[in-house]
Amino acid sequence: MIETKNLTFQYNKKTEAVKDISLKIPKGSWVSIIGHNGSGKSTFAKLLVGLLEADSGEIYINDELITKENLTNLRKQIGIVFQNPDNQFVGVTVKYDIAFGLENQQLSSKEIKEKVLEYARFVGMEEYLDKEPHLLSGGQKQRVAIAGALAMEQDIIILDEATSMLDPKGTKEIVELIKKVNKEMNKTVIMITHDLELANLSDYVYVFKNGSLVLEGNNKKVFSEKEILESSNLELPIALSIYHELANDKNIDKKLVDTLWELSSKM
Amino acid sequence: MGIKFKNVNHEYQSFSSNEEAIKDINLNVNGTGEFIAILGHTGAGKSTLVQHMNALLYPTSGVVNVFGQDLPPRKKDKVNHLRQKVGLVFQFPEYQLFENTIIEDIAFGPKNFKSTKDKALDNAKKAASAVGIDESMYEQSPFRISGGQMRRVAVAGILAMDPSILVLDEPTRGLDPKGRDEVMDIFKTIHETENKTIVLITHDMDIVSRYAKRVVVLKDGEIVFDGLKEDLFTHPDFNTFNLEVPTTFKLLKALEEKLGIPFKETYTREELTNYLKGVKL
Repeated sequence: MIETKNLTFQYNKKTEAVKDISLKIPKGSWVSIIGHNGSGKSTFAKLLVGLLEADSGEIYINDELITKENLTNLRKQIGIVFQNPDNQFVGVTVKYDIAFGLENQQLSSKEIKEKVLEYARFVGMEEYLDKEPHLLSGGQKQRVAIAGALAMEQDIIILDEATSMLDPKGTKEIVELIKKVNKEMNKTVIMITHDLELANLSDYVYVFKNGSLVLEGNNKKVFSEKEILESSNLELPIALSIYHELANDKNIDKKLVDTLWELSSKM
Repeated sequence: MGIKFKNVNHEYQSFSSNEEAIKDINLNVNGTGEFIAILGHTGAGKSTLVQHMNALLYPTSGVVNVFGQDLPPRKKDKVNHLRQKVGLVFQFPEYQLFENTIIEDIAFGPKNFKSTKDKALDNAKKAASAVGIDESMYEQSPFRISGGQMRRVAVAGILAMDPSILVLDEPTRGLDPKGRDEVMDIFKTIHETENKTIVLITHDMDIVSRYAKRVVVLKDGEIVFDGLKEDLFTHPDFNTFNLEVPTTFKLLKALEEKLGIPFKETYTREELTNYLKGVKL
């Protein structure tokens, strides 16, 4: 479980990038943090993994308060995958890239090899172990990045806009993989995204606006709050926005409205 | 006048083998009034194709004619002026910003095409206002603004050269929905008010459905469709193009299955909403 209490951070003296965020993410859940560009959602992710240090507030992982002293512990429990597949490929080939984190863990080379193979298999990249990054598609590079994060065997994985640079095929590959990571490996998945259709796949949604948490709940609750979503500069998926437009129109058959609502969680 | 591809092939050479990126391309792009979306899978040859449009690549066989100039050029021919006529905006153009101030960065292109400094600055100011960069930002560093603003500055740098044809390689990639709409609306306005031809590569079928008039689909380096948007989605071979349909289509297909609402092609949310308001169940 991850919990934050009154977490606040500012890059410069003028603006607070993250304001007083308190939330609780249960173990094994799949949650989305959605918001416009500059809403603070990525900054929040960086605070969680310890890439930034909060100005005030607290972070608890499994009820343990994170301090400077046990920060290394925290890093052992959370992995993160970033937006741009090209900026996070550090190995010369797929296998070296997946092994990168493991090499700092005092494992024997046999153990490293086994783990690399295991996680390459899990993400469906075992046939590409000796391939160089420029021979891979964006989706494949992101799968390698996820394998590298999984190989560290952390409980929590954060995906920071991990699909926003991919084509539709690459996005589908990653979505399928995230499902597997959450359901089969039972890992807590925190997805940072501006895509409401992606967010719709998760169990629980947090909405950030100008650094603050303005809405949270299950999909049904969050997606019925049209005004808050729109005023947070988020774009409603087409089915949902038509639902909202027709829902208050008395001339429209209720069956149509209900079907639109039902479909809006599927597309 | 515009761009004409005649039997164009392009092979990339590597150590072990040659790879044909585009094959036997025949394509005409008018110098004014077109709004073309170029679609196809990653690796279908889209970027290779558009780089021929302003002489960044030459055909390995066949001829591309850009505003009267044949490519590959004969030795004495100059091609630089073509890049003023056909402005190309790469993917993630914000990575190419480099000047000290926003306005200098936008003016860099026109300055290089032999316009005087005053004229270049004039063009730059016009371009800045077209993309919504306010005068108060002119002297700021282009590296201290948001990602969406950086992209608009980069687009303005191409617009400032006043090209007849504007070619854009995935201009909305990585932007959030608001940023995407802002950027697309800039191109729409330029197209509508100045009658410029827009050629854009995209994977986003909702952009195609909302903005494009004509669509060119590439598959494994070959053109498999070239025609009106309205004819694309109903094309008998559509399924072989490996493309998604617009969300409006998906939604109405699902409503047809569940409620028997007859399917009809609609391309925007507004069209679909109006259609649904009119149906009787």
